[in-house]
Amino acid sequence: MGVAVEIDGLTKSFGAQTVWSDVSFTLPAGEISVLLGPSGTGKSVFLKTLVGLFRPDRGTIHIDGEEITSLHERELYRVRRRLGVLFQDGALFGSMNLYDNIAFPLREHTRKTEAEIRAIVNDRLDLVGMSGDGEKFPGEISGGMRKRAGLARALVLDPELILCDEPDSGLDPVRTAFLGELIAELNRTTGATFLIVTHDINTAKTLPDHIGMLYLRRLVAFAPREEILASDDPVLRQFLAADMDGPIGMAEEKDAVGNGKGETLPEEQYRGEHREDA
Amino acid sequence: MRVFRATGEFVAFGLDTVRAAFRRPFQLGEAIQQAWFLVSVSILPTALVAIPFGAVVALQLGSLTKQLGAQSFSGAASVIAVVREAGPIVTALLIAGAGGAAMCADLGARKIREELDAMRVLGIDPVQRLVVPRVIASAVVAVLLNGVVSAVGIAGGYVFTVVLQDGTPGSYFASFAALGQVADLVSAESRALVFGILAALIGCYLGMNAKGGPKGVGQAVNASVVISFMLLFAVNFVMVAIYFQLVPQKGS
Ligand SMILES: Nc1ncnc2c1ncn2[C@@H]1O[C@H](COP(=O)(O)OP(=O)(O)O)[C@@H](O)[C@H]1O
Ligand SMILES: [Mg+2]
Repeated sequence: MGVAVEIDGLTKSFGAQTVWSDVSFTLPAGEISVLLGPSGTGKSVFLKTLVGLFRPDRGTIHIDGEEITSLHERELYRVRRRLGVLFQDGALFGSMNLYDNIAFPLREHTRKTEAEIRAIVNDRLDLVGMSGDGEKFPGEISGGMRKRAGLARALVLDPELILCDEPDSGLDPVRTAFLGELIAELNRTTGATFLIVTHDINTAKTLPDHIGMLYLRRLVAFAPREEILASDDPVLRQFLAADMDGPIGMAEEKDAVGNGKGETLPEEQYRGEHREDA
Repeated sequence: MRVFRATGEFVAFGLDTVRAAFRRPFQLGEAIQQAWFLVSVSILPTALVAIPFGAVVALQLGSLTKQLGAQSFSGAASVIAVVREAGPIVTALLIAGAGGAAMCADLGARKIREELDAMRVLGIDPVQRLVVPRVIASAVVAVLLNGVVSAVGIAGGYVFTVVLQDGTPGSYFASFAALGQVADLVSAESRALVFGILAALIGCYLGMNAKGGPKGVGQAVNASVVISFMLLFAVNFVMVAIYFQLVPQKGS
């Protein structure tokens, strides 16, 4: 079963640089949500903050009702065992083959026998379409395979919340479609909650129940998919249409020109400015 | 300001490592593998540096003792110089330049591939799993390297005095016993131990904090070598000064 994640007033900065501020929304239990946003808007930082790898400056995160930003490292490990995370490039352990990578969480956290572990690992490899690849090392396979193996490892402890950082970047359109189908299938069969960071517009348009978008250091929107797809917000429309014409420019820094370094625009100004551009 | 913060973070990292060292299960396999790796990258360069270094010390002291009219002490003086100072210095150079740098590169690569984040998410503390065994391996190997350098120095001094300069073995050992003491070796070995621990801690700390892709790892490795050298030489001075305060010297 999936868990709900409530994010309230979350703000994160590195030194003087604010990555995003005052982000509030709820990931509904058992549903698939997608987080969009131009490169460098802090999507990866957001996922890492959700699992406690970064501590936010302000705000709270409740996972299944438990506040995690104030937990100690030891208590965090207990919460993290209910989560599966797929990092941007799979983040497999380079010193182990794929089989041992996927078996790693089982060997660390369960008392299963090697025979039971083999059954589970082979099942997960099968699930991501990599049966027979267990002997390969992460350095010997393509980026797409690393991501799928990383997903298999994330799934091995039957997580209730699965976070994926750009699972489809670097994959061809057919494989991206298969991966989307796999995620939908996992969601149906396990009921886990998903949060997926992606750049793929097709994925965003078909897969999720909800869509959120980070832009200019704030959460522009988080709402049911149909609502976002029908939105007339210029940022959302430009991003979903992959249009060069609109408020989003070539470089993230340029988008912020005119509002001083590192500050977030007030809501009215932000809206007004983009209305003119659109 | 940045230096102070980094120093504070490094001290905190050291304390974390000490704490994690007492947490079970101890990663014996990883420690042995790391120790073996360290020996394999450092033993040959250590020997190749120790022999000419010992020879230079012997030549310098041979000439100096002649100027002072104390030729009979030349062999012993060079051995003591090697055991007291050359051993720990060669150990520091090798353990930081080869060992610490390799650890930094290894952990840096894992950091930018997000392996360390993945480990934390999977409920494993990278400090306990990766840093502790490396620090222990480095400490053990540093003591060993220092022993190797001392042995090479003593053997070299013997060859130099007895075989090349026609001294007698008896007078060589007698002059040696007149000046040196076991505490010299203990002091040198304890410095080597500290160097091994510090070089590994610095390498691991900078590797785990590398950022900015492969270039960032390169910079971290560079920094780890430079910082380790500076720190180890400073620590060496302090520990020697303390040694001379605490341990009375023969003949003085
Ligand atoms: N550990 C860190 N220290 C300092 N700045 C960081 C760190 N991690 C990420 N950043 C900065 O945070 C911003 C957002 O990065 P990221 O989350 O990777 O963006 P995205 O995934 O949306 O492309 C970037 O400007 C990046 O430089
Ligand atoms: Mg990212």
